[in-house]
Amino acid sequence: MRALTLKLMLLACLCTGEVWAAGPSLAVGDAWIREAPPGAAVLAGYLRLDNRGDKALVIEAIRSQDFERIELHRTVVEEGVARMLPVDRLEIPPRGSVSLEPGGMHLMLINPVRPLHQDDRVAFSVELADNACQRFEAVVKRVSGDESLQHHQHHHH
Amino acid sequence: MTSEGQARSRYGIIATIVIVIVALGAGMLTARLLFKPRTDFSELSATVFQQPRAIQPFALLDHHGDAFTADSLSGQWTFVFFGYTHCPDVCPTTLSVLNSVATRLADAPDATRFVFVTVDPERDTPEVLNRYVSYFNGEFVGVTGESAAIGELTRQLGIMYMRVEDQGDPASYLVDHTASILLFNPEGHFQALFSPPLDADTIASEFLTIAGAFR
Repeated sequence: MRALTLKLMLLACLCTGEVWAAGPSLAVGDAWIREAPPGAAVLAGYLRLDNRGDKALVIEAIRSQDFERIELHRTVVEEGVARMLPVDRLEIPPRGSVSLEPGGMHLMLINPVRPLHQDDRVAFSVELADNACQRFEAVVKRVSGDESLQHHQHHHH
Repeated sequence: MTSEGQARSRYGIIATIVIVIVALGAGMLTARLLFKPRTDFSELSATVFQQPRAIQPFALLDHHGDAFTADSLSGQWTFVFFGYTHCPDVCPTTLSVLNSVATRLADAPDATRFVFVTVDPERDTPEVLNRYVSYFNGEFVGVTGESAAIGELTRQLGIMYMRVEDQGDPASYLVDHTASILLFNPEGHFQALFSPPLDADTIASEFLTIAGAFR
């Protein structure tokens, strides 16, 4: 536990201050976490990553002090079977964007360190391959079946 | 011919016409009952079995720790989804969809029930399932049990699941699993299958078609 605390403190120091030389190329939008049943060990996070620059951006890691561990996964359904495949490398093309959405790519948020309820805000940081770092906040949302459907249909904002 | 005779013969004709009409009506009604037009399910996105499948006996537990057996499936229509509580994306999405289906079918003529069967009985105890399913809908039933019993039930239903180990952390393994929703008729027989992509409107309206044809 002591080791973990130390690690979290270290991570918190990684993403501070001005990290972009000429303004951020990466913009994070529509970041939200699906509210989960009480005691859930794993939650899902969704967001949109926009690259406003002329160079491809490679996401190295997404971190938050509110979870023990975060992994990036993609849900695929093949012959009726849903599986989650780890995404090792996420590249956002120049002037392009990548969306993490229900039923597709998502952040797998493992072991929340505090209970998360609707409207709670969670701080994250995105670490890029060039050591740049971008902070963002995600809001916890309670989703009904209808809303998750709408989210699918209107994903182009 | 006397006027009395004429009247009698007129009555005779009327009586004959009435008998013919009644007989025709009865015949048509019988024909409708005997040769009930088979509902065409081919337009549905659901797979509907013309011969619903009977289920071999099984012994599992519900989220209160009470017995859940093949008999528990009969008496009303039952939607069944297989998943696990450590599943962050597919299972919560599907259970939310099922909650919307439940809302849409609340006033339907046919009673429905919704059951979530875990494919991860090691982590999903009745207590864990209780917290999990109640979050989505207080009426939902969570089902768990011995791994072997879950295995037997899934095998006869064609449900697949496979544990995927996490190299970094053995406790946080994933489980690949069939993402379809199964529908059991009030006799407890496997009647239809809804495969992804799943949406509440389609499931609710197709259910009404399937249940209507069953009545």
